[in-house]
Amino acid sequence: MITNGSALLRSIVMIAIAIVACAIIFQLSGYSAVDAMSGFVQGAITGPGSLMSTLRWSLPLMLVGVGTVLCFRSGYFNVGAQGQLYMGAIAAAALIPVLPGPAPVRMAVGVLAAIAAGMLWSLIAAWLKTSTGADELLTTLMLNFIGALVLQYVTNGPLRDLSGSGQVAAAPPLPLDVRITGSSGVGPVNVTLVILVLIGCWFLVNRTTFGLSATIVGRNPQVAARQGVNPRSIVWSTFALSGGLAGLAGALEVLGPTGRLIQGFSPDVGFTGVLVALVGGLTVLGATFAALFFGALAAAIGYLPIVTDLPRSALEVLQGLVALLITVQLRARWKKRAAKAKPDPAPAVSKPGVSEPAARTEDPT
Amino acid sequence: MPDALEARSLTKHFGDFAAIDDVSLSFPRGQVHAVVGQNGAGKTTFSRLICGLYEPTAGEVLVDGTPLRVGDIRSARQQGVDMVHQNFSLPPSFTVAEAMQLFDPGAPAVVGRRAMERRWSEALRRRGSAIDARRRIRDLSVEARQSLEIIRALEGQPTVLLLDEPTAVLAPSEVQGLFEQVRRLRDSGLTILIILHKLPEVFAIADTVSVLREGRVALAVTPIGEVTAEELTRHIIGPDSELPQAHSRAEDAVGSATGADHLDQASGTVLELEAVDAPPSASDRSLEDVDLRVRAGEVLGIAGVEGNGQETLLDVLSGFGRVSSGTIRLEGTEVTGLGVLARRRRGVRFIPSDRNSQGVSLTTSLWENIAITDLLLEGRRWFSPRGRKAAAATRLATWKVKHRRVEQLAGELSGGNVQRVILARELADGVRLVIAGNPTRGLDLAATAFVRAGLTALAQEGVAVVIVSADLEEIRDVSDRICVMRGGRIVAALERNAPLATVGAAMVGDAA
Amino acid sequence: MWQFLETSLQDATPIALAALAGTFAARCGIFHLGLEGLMCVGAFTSVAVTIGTGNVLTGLTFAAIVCAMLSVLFWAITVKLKADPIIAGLALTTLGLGASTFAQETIFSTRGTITAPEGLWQPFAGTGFPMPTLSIIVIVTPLIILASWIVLRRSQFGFSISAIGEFPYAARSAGINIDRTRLTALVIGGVLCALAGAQLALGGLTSFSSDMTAGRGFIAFSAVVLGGSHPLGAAAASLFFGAANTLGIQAQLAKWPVPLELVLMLPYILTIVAVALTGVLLRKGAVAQSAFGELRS
Repeated sequence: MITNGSALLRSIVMIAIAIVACAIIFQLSGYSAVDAMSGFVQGAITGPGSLMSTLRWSLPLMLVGVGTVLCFRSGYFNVGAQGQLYMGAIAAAALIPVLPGPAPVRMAVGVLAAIAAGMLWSLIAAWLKTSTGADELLTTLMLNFIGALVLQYVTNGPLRDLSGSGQVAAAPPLPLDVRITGSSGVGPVNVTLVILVLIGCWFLVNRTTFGLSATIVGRNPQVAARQGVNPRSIVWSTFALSGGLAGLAGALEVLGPTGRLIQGFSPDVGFTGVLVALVGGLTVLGATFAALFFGALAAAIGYLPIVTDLPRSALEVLQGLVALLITVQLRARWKKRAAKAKPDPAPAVSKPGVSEPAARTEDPT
Repeated sequence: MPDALEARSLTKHFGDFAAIDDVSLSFPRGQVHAVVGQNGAGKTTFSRLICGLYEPTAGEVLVDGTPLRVGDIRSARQQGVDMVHQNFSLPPSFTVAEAMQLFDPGAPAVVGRRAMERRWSEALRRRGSAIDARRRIRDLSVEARQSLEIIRALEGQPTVLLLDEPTAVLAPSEVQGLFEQVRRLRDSGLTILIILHKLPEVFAIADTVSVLREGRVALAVTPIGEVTAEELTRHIIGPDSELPQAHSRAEDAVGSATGADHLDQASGTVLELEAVDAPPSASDRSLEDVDLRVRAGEVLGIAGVEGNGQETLLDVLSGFGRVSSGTIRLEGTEVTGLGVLARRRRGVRFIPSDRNSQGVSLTTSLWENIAITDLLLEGRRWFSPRGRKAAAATRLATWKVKHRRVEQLAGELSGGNVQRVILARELADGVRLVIAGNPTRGLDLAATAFVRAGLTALAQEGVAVVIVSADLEEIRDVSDRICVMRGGRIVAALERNAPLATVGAAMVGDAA
Repeated sequence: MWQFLETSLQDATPIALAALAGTFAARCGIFHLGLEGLMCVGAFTSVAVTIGTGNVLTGLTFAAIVCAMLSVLFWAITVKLKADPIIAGLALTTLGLGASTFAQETIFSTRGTITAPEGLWQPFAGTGFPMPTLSIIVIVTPLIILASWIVLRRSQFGFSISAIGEFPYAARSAGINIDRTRLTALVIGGVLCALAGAQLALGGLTSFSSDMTAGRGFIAFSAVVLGGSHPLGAAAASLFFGAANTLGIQAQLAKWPVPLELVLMLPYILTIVAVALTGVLLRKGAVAQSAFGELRS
């Protein structure tokens, strides 16, 4: 198996360190760390409806996280899931009310449109990458902000629910017959869909030539290219897939628990998805469990006020700490990135081809 | 009075690899000392040790009899040792004045642009340079950058100056200017260490010459008048160069009812290059007007000093690099425009010269490293890992790869075994042409023999083999014919029994 | 007109200060995506300490210290422990936003707004100067920009920073201590972010509310990219973004047919264009680039 056992072990260690650090911070801030921890457990697992809630928050993270795994595995740092998710949600919410036909068809078309919208948003970065070599990390990050502003525009302008009194701009609620799940966010259709996606991605990564090619491109593009893998096609496919998955997550959100398009909904899913992928050791299976973990945290934080006065922002602190620590051990695979991350690129100066080839053999740094 | 610079038992390990192994050399004052050797002989490591950029694993460097504080470039400079780096060390976006300021340890914390430019304009003029201090480094010609690097070093008032392959980046006409400057500096009392590749240059400039081979001293500081070009070539490429076992391959071939016959019978031309020009590749120079022809069952050796276009040739042959003009034919069919996979499907296999960065993915398991090639060749979309692992296990066993499990990461194997993995992967069914770059570099004797035997055995079966190698001994041992590359061209086409001196002379240029 | 300029300057100042922080980091080879988090921590700390001590200067000092300490943490994680600077930067932002809200809720038991008894000194108030509400930070920011320019472009330290970012081999052969220089650059950046946050919170409103930075740190990052990692370029880009923002809000108030969001998108769109252009330029020099790449470590 591709799964790197030691990477997963280290992920667990890093999370443990972050949790301990957080417990200390909570205790020092005057909260009971014990209460907080038991509250987390109740909110995520043992409390009434907790497992359902955990699942509700895990499902979008699974889609986004696994999509991120596909891109990161092939060495492309697509962090644009947030924007892609918004685009998917907008496409579904805008299209469904104006479509003719029976509800299931409208629902299906809406979901497909969301997948397509997420893909297109993601492919902007792929196009910039293949045509200009633009760093995909920067472009996808910027596309996230643009996507959030598009959502803000849509919910304040064309799709605004004028009857609503709410402080937050939102589109009118979607009719119940096109909703995939109710407000619980867990239903047979979306759970089945996510499970199918996970199985499909697992198969793609572990059983197909494409998955193996993408993995080797990510680990050593030189080797892959010399075996005849076309890196360009890997860029297009992985960006399309991860964008499509994020778009699907967006559709499941507006056609499920939120039931309508709301400005700035689920603001952290994109970044948490990156964490899910990294914590999961860039494997589908690992990311699935990581998504359950982060979903459980999200569920617990909603439940916490019942048992302790620990504020919601505690979750962000914990996630921030995990994120801060999680790449400490992934470094070896990421050297490529480090070489890229530099301002004011060094221009053409030396005559090509006269640099010392021996620098490579004599200076194995 | 002690010598200007002395290295005592200097040793530098990179991991297990000893780049410099117990090197002791002593350089008298006020002379130009050339240090020569093949690529990988340790010249650059040696110079970086002396200038304080690397910390030695063992041994010490003495300047005027005083030990150098090791691994500290600033104190090396204070003690009077400075180096002009081959790849240059001035940041390209800086102006000349800024770059000079960066290297000046006594520079004030804050400085005005005008004052800075005035100061360095004067310094440049004083040293007879016409370079404008306001220009950016990246806008300077290579020659100007080099003379600036030298001025930069001289500003620190060194007593010993190291020049790391200064001629590698210069055109022949520019080399004359450089040498005149070097002579002037020597006459002003400076001790100069100059690392060189080409023998004519050694004889043109050096007062003494030393040779490094495989990280050790092959010839210690010897006055230039006491050696001939032939002797020097032999020191560079190895003392056993004319031993009889050198012709083992030839004898084998003769033994088996004359090698020439076996070639004639399978005389179909497998690979043909006609007037191929190619742009520079990532690590090597351009190709100019390359013609090649390899027949089935023939081993063609391509010799040359590294950096003369061999890497570009390897890329062009494998389909990884593009040509700008000319044609490549494979068994009579033009394949010039075909990519890597299309050529692989026509029977081209590739053993890249840098196995760790181009050959296998070290962070990937053995079976996946093998499976990727097969899957792409077969054009399959999905696979069963169990089947692929079994197939990989068989292949690894055939090629006697020492491994524990097929799930093991390639990076856990030794260099020789990694190379066997590559052979096991590449040399399976349907091979018509094998292109191998430095296939035995860094391998021990047993692994080397194994790899060479594998390649020669293939040729016996009628496969065409092209071996590009910087190792003359290897070329001589396995080749039926030898081509020599220099300056992106094929400068000589020789038979396998051509004297080594002839090959060496063609590699380094005429040493007349 | 004066009011427009005044608002633009007030909008631009936090962005410009954070962009300078990003410029210091970018020049030594670190893309700093933690600006947003540092800025938010700076804003919260300055307000909280001002409320606690009743002294704005103490608030500023503490904000600077806390942000400098977070920068040391960022340095340790990225430079010493070799974490990916981009992910660690985003993590720092998540942590900074979360921690300031967490501290606010813990100390002040509210998720809403906390108000300081006094704001930053407004030297022009009551003098008849046409822009009376400019805070002292807005007024000294041009000096800070100038100082940053001198440090980055005219000082030995700045040359060292630039050499590290552009060509580490050069820095090594010049005998520069790469890690220590990066630490200094990041700590300077931390202090600048603290000032940016303090201006945001205490410059006009004299209050803090959670997530009040509202993406300004990322706009500052855009300004770094657009300004070509040059202090004056970054400052100019920040001023442009500040003016565009003010214009956008005025356009909305005046019911112009231009959606506000389009104006707000401008920094990000321009950044993508800049990144793509850099990509094209980089590709031209790809061969030389790879030759240099081998010397980076």
